Amino acid sequence: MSQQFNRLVVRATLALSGLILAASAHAGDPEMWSRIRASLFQDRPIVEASGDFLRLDAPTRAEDAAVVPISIHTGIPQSAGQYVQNTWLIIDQNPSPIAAKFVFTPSSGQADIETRVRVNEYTLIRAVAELNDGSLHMVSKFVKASGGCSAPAGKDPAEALASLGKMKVRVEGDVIPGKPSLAQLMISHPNDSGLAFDQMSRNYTPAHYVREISVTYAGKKVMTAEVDISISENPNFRFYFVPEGAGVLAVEAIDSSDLKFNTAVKLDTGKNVAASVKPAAGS
Amino acid sequence: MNSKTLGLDPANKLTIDGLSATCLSLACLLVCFFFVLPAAHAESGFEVHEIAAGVWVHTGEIGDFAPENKGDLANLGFVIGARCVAVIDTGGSRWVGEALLGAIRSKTKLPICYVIATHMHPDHLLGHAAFLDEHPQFVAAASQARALIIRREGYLSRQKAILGENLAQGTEVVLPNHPIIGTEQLDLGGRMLTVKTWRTAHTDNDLTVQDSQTHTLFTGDLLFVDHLPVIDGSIKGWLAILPELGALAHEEEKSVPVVPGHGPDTGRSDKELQRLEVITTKPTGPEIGQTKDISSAYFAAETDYLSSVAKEVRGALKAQQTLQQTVSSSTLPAHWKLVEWYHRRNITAAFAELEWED
Repeated sequence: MSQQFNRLVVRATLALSGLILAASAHAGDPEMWSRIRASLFQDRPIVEASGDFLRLDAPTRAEDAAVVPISIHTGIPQSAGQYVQNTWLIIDQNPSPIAAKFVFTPSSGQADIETRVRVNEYTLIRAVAELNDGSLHMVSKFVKASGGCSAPAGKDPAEALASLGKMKVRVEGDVIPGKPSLAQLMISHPNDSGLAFDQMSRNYTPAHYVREISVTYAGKKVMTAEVDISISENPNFRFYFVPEGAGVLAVEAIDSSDLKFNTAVKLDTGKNVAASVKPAAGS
Repeated sequence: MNSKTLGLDPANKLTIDGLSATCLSLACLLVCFFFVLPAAHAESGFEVHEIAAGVWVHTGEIGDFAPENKGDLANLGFVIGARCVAVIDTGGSRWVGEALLGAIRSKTKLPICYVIATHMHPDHLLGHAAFLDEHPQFVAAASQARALIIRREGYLSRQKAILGENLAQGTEVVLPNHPIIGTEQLDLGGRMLTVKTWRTAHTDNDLTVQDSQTHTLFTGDLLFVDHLPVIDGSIKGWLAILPELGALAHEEEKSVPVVPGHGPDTGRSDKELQRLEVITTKPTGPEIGQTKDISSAYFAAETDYLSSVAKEVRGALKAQQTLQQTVSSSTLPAHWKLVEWYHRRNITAAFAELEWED
């Protein structure tokens, strides 16, 4: 809870400083980054990572600012001795720049992640990885897109409401003990940014978004994500996990209204599996 | 047109604001020029043609908002009854709306009782404000108000950023006060207009208009001609309604005049037929040579494109391709305009929709 509060404070501070800076806001605004950096990493050193070690893929020009595909690749396998502990996905010029914090474990196998984000204006997008030794490594990419965050969620709002919380989990390829398996998680959720102004109520539509996702396999933590309104409608993630044998891949998602959505898929080794599960009753 | 190009863009807006200080003197010249000539539409080449008796059409430019086109991008129309006039879409700026009002006034002095918006997109309805003094009923699908309320700030700021302070001046988003659910008849005196709403297709608030006297069909952006169709609703919904919409384009086996949201209407037949021969050379394309029916060819071309997008995306999903892979491996279609801007976007929209199919 306090962590969430901290995030809110950071968000509010950044939003305020964003307003102050607005007059001079340009893509690649170094001052914006220095504020984000200070809030997340204080004055800890951050190494510019080589492409072999950490890579961020994003389109140079986004086709749809509300659905910008992002992928983060790491060059090192996760092992007990050396692994990526946390990866932040940061979109400098978004109203809420810290799009996601992904927490990995050695059981993640590979600390790669793919997702889709909203991009509000021309901006640098960054991935900062923290290794288990505490060192910080960063890559960044400039993306041209605009209008993603305030673009209203939903081309078909009635449909979105009807399918709220539906989840799909798919594991690609065969499940081989000890080898990283690639999983895809889809959550049907409007992920409303709350940034669209409602002229009738003279207010902003309330934000309603997925804020936390945790994934376990056979009871062991694989990946946790604290996410935000910068993630696109119907949040979508691709990530790895290492199965030691047969087990259950379980996902829990919690949204900003504290609704909980669960899904799970039972995996046997050596078999290709796919699952589509209706949400468990929300709380 | 779609929400990408007119999405809220604070950066752009701020940049324009910043620039305006330095460009003030130049801007002032332009501002003065336009202020002096506010009613110069007739001389500036705003044309309307009579596609059927009492049914007039203005053909918008195929392109995106730019100062040169003043937001004149969509096809607009008006229908003159014995009692009053109905306007179908008003263009992408107050300037276009005023030009259209001027064109109407050159044909009739009858009151304007209805201003109909075929859907929410700014190139179709940002001219509404020019009609406020006529006190018409503003007609739209019931779902349009919500869609506009959450987008209006973005539409207006983006329009201003692109067209500039002067051209955007006086433009406002006018919310509908005559919502349509299902189908309704609007009486113009001696002729009725049937306005009909559709399930989510191009957008979630599409509406078509058909005249009882000449059967002229205004499709809004449910039918694009030349201009690549843009998906801002549901590709599945759109493909599902096209047969029913296409059927409205025929009355007792004969084709009726059809006005698409963008691109040439069927009133320009001879030139069009020749041009269509080019469009229809692809193997799966419409067989215009046999039917000699322009609207069927138009509908077939659009169905063909949307089907090919759906097929390509479903194939990619089946092959477990990611969104990024699917978008970057897609080839731009031939025979359409603005493919650079909209095709990959359509693939993105279709992917995000179809990946939920079981």
